[in-house]
Parts: sequence; structure tokens; C-alpha cells
Amino acid sequence: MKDIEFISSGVLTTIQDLGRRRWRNMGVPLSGAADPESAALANALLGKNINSPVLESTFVGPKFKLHSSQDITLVGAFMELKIDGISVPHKTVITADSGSIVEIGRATHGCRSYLAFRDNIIGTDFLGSVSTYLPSKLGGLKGRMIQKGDFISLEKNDYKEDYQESIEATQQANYSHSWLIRVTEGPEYNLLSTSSKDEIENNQYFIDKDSDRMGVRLNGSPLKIDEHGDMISSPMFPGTIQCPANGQPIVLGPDAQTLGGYPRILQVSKIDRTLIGQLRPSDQLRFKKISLQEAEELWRDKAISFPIISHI
Amino acid sequence: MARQFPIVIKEMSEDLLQVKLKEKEIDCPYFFWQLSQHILKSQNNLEVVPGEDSLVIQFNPLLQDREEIKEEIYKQSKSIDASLNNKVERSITVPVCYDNEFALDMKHILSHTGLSRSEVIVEHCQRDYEVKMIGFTPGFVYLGELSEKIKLPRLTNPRPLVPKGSIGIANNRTGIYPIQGPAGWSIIGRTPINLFDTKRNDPFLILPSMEINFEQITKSEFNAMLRD
Repeated sequence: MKDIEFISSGVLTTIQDLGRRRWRNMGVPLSGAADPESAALANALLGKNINSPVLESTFVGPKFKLHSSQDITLVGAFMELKIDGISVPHKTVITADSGSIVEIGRATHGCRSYLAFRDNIIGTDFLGSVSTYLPSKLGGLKGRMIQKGDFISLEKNDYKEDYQESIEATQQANYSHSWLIRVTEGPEYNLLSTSSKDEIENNQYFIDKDSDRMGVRLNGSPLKIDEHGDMISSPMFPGTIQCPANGQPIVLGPDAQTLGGYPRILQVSKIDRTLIGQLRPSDQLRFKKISLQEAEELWRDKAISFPIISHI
Repeated sequence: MARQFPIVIKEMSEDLLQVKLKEKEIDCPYFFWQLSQHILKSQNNLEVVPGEDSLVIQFNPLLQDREEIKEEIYKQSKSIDASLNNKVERSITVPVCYDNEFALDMKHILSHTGLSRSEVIVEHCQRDYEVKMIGFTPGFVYLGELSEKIKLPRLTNPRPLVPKGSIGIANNRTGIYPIQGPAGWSIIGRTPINLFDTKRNDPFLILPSMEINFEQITKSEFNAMLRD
């Protein structure tokens, strides 16, 4: 027990799995890793069930002391991983001895990284998931972010699966400070003015600092909505792009509200949805509109080289 | 007599399907709630969100066949008797304290409606509400219809944080914020009861089959109920 002792917390470190499913009809958001493909890959590298809990670090990761020997691996944003002061690579299984100090540094590209352990992180289960949902103080470690002085316990994991084939073919997402996000038209796309429709792919957006796991706010040349007035609140999902009255789109993340009152102008395609978790303040972003068929084909093609995504 | 609501299903993305009624004018949120329950029971691995005038279903396009899911939705929609719309299985009274300390927007509501404080409270309390939708955040309930006399639009500047239990009004709806969080509705009061209790096996107090009404309580009653 008490295998991990936090010396520093990082900016926002939480326990996440792949989310809380089948309660969305009661307003319970998915939650889970903001970049689920990275979290799944970290688990797969250790031969674990991809839905196993991982540590999600934001901007700057935590520093902790291990009280048992553990195999670990880090996937996601470019954050330096150090064991006892020695830098070790991402996407590689490394054995850290009992007593060693593990430190995850500041992200140079991307926003969040995922650290998986050989043994299973013990978190508070709520409705079938240990994902931390901060607004309702649910799951994770007492429903909150990790703090200095916290302990996390691990339980033995005997599960072993061989994902080797799928992992070797995996290509790292192309992290940069300038993202091209593929989208399809949302149900209220037609509320956009003709000029906004024409400009939407050329608009250069910046990620606002006021972004979180609920939504990534964009700043750019404002979009115009032709029809005014309140629409009836309608279903929303991670990847839905809302356009409030100020014309600055919001890309909904894993903690997305289940119902919302702003026009759903676009939907991020599954091929790029996992990148929402890597968008960080002041990064640039542009949209590329694709057809439903293209979105489907891109996702199918990706699953051929990276089969574990079929279960995300 | 059994009645049916014909539906149409549209692709919202490669993994989302939107269900709407063929005839848009009908008010039938309970139909979409029932349909979502039927779908959840009959199909595994689907995420559903019922709204007031639509239902959105998320599926896994690599493991599930879209056409089969559509067929299932059509089939389930036909098994719902629309004449049972808005069936009330239970009534719940929600106690509310309307003191200024809790009614963060009372001044705004008074000046907007031209009513006195007691008139506003009577308008809010003196009717039974249907549960139109559940969602936004866990357990948030959209109740209607709100009295025309206290109807006002959403706030221009949403509040970043309102306390748990806050009661809001916007347009023809009133709602209860079960957790603290951002709020775009005018806050008219606060309830001491817990609508989303994560310590219970069934954390949700209010379901769409229930009828809700509000009862005014004093601040000391509010505090006493909080302690219980």
C-alpha cells in the first residue's frame, strides 16, 4: 500500500481511466483521459487493460517517491521524465526501483501526459469508473487533484495482454504549436452566416488560457450566427464545437456538459478528437472540414495500424 | 388508445445519431426520455442524451453497425405509447429559501418583471412542474412551464460559480443546480436538499417521471435542514 508519495503535485494531476459510460442520460459527463489514445497506449505498452487508471499531468507533472518497485511508462505531451535525476524516454517501459524519485517536467509541446504503472492505481469508483470529475468532486483521489503529501496505493495486476503488434505500428501524433483539426458539420451549422461559412477554414484561432477539461475556448475573427435568440438546450458530446453569442467557438472536452444552449456548429472527427486534450493556451488552431464518409474512412484506416482504438 | 410519434434519424457525425420527431410542433420531452431508456435497456455500449426535442446517441463505428442501430431505434420508438406522455409516478416538494442571501438575482428579477418580491415567490411556488430534461451537469433538472409573469432571458454574463442547490430561472424554465458551478440563469433562491448524492447507490433524487413543486422556507428552516 501507499506505493506513491507525492513530493510535488504538478499543475493539475488527476487519476483518469477511459471515462464513465452509460450515465450521460442523467447528466454525468464522460470524464476520463482528455487524450484517451495516449492513456490507452500507456496501458497497452505495459500489457494492461487499456481502461486501467493512469495519472494525467497537465502542463507540469508531479514529482513522487516510489515505495515499491514498478514498471512505468509515459505517453503524451513532451514532458521530460526523470528517474533519480536521469532522463528516460517516453513510450518505453522502464523499471523504477523502490525508493526512487520520479519526476515529470514541463511540457514543451502538447498539454497532457499519461503515466501508467505495472500495478493498478486504486481510486474511488463512482458509477463504474475511477475518473476524476472535479466539478462534482467525483472519482480519483477523494474527487480532487493530487496535492503535495498525498499517497496513492497500487494493487497487484496479473492481467497481461500482448499488444506488441499494434504498438509497433503506432505513430506518435504530430505535436506542434499549430494544429489542424478535422471536423464535420454540426446540427446547427446552417445557422452560421454565409460569410462565416466561407471563412471558417481560413480563420486562425488561438487557444484561450481560460480552457479546461470541460471546453477549449478559441479566440479568432468572430463567427456570425444568422438566427438570434435562445435555442432549446440540446445534447452535447466531447468534440462538439459550440458557438456562443460572442462568435468565439468552444471545443468541448471530456468533461463536456451533456446539454447546452449554444448552436453546435461543428463536430471534431474521431481521427482528431484525442488531440483536444493536447491543445494548450496560445497554441494556434485551424479547422479542416471533411465529409462524414472521409471521417469514417480515416478512423477505419487508423484502426488498422492501431487496433486498440476500437475499444476507446 | 395507443399513439405513436414518427421519428427521423440523422447522422450528426461518424459516431453520433440525432433522433427528432417528424412533426416538430409536438411538446414531448418525456417521449425522448422513454426512448432513451428503451435503447439503454436493449443495447449495450451506447451513450444516449435525451433533450426536450431530440435524442442523440453515440455508438462505436468500428464495432457497431450504424444501420442496425437505426433499425433498433425505429423499432423501439414504435413500442412507446405516446398517449402515456408526461405520466407522473411521484410528486416531490423541494423546499426553497428566497432570502436575498440566496436569491442572488432577486433585484434583477424584480426590476425586470415589475412584480413585488412576494408576487415573484408566489408565481414560482404556485404550480406543479414537469421534468423536461436532466443534464448539463450531473442531476441538473430543467422544469417547466415557468409562469409567463417571471419569464426572463438567460444572463448576458453567466456567473462562473453559484453554490450547490441554487434555483435558477430562464425563459420558460426553472432549474436546480445540484453542484456548485457556472450558471447562466437568474438565481431566485436555494434549496438545502441534496439532489445529487454521490454517497447513495442511486445518486439521483429527481427523475423525469416525477412532478416537482416548490415550497417557501425561512432561513432558519433552511439551516436546520442543512444540518439534518
